[in-house]
Amino acid sequence: MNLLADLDGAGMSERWLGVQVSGEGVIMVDAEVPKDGPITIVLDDSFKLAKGDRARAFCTMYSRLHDYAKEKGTKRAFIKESAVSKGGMGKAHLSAAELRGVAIAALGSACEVNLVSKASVSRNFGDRKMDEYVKDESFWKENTDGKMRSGSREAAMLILASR
Amino acid sequence: MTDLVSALQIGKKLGNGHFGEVHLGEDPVHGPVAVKMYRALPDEDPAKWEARKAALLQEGVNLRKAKHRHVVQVHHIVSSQTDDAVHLVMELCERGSLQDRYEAGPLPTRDVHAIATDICHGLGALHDREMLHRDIKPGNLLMDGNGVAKLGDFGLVTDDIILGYADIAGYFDHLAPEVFETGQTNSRSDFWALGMTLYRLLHGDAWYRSSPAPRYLVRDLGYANRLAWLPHISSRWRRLIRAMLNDDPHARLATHGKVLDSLAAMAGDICWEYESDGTTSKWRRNAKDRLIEVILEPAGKKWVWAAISHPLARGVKRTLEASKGAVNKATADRGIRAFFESCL
Repeated sequence: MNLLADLDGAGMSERWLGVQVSGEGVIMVDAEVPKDGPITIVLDDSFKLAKGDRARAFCTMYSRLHDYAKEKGTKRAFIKESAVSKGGMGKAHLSAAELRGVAIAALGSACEVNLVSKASVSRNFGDRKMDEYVKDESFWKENTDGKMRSGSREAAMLILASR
Repeated sequence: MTDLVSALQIGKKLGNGHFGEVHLGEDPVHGPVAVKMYRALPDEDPAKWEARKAALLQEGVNLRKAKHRHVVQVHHIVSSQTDDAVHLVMELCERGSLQDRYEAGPLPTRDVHAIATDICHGLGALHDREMLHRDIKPGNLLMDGNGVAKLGDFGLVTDDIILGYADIAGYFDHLAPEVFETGQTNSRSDFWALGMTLYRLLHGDAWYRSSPAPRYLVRDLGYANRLAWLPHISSRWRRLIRAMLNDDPHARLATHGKVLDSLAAMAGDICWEYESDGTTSKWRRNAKDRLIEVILEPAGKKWVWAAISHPLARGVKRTLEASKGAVNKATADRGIRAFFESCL
């Protein structure tokens, strides 16, 4: 899948990860990012958090994320950072924040990690807010040659806004 | 160059690996280690001994390239001054292989789940590095002192992959149908072998041996649909193992990520301890302040079963479910299976 960000020339590319964490698991978009030219999505996948014992589930998730970044030679990971919810903070937010910590540690042990806020994506990419891009079907139809789920779009936006 | 003398001390024999004996060792740097010993046999042709030495060295190289926390680590290789022995010095997995536990009976599903998760990480790392294991079986899964499972015995590991395939090898009962057909293995056939291994760990050796060996059946296809299951093995486990034993390698569940996702979905499932004396079968689990016990036993030519909740302290014994009098074996099995599924 290609994300057509810029069609001019292509330099050496790096493997970058865009990571969106919820209480249920991790959505990950893995992309080859050249200095210029279209970004190629290598993988758009989700890693489910195991049910049951939470310590063991976190340990498994740590291993999966660390191994993935290490084996694939990932240079940089962009993780959507925790944010205060205007609608109130429930257990789901706290669970997601716990898992986000695991993801930060796991990826940080294998590559450079950057925490990216929604506001900074909105500032650094295009002229609209991140949520508007995520919901805009025509934007994704026009700029990708495959289908992306909503969570994956957010993860991809983290990469787009960081280049 | 100065000749160096190793300070490695060799201790008691631990077991047999694919190509040689394994002994306990004491290494000045690593402490207790496992030492796989190759020695020239008294009447061995020198050329054959050279070939065996080369195989050991290759195993050492493979293990070094496969370094991962769920793969047994190789520290170094020591050759004797007289050149009649080569020692592969490896990480010691204190609890040994799973062969003995497998032979003793079915492992609890919780333990098999943890083992499967660990081994998937190790196998995934191997495959990411374009290496195959080709000999996954209970005897080649080792447990360290902390209960972490690791892939070991790399006598058959190869990175000599041409178009993703390597020559036929491995434990005959764990070979996928396409390996019988083409004589070639790949990462998908490693997952077949892992599926077979998980099935065996969940059922134990006696149960596994009560059915014809896979080597006689796998070639005819549809092997996964002919497996006999213990009643407490959940639908989720059965689906996972059947998916790993899909005859079509391209439809097979054969990536570590997909297997880990399936394992994640069943991680919190209830675990039953199972024991059988060959006639009466018992399952037990603790539930808060009660012990749930399911007993299946013969009644003449028929069978009876009951699921009973016992208080661990004060309280009364309750029958949760039971067969309606003596029933035939198939009816009893169906009833128990339905009870276990209702507990999930």
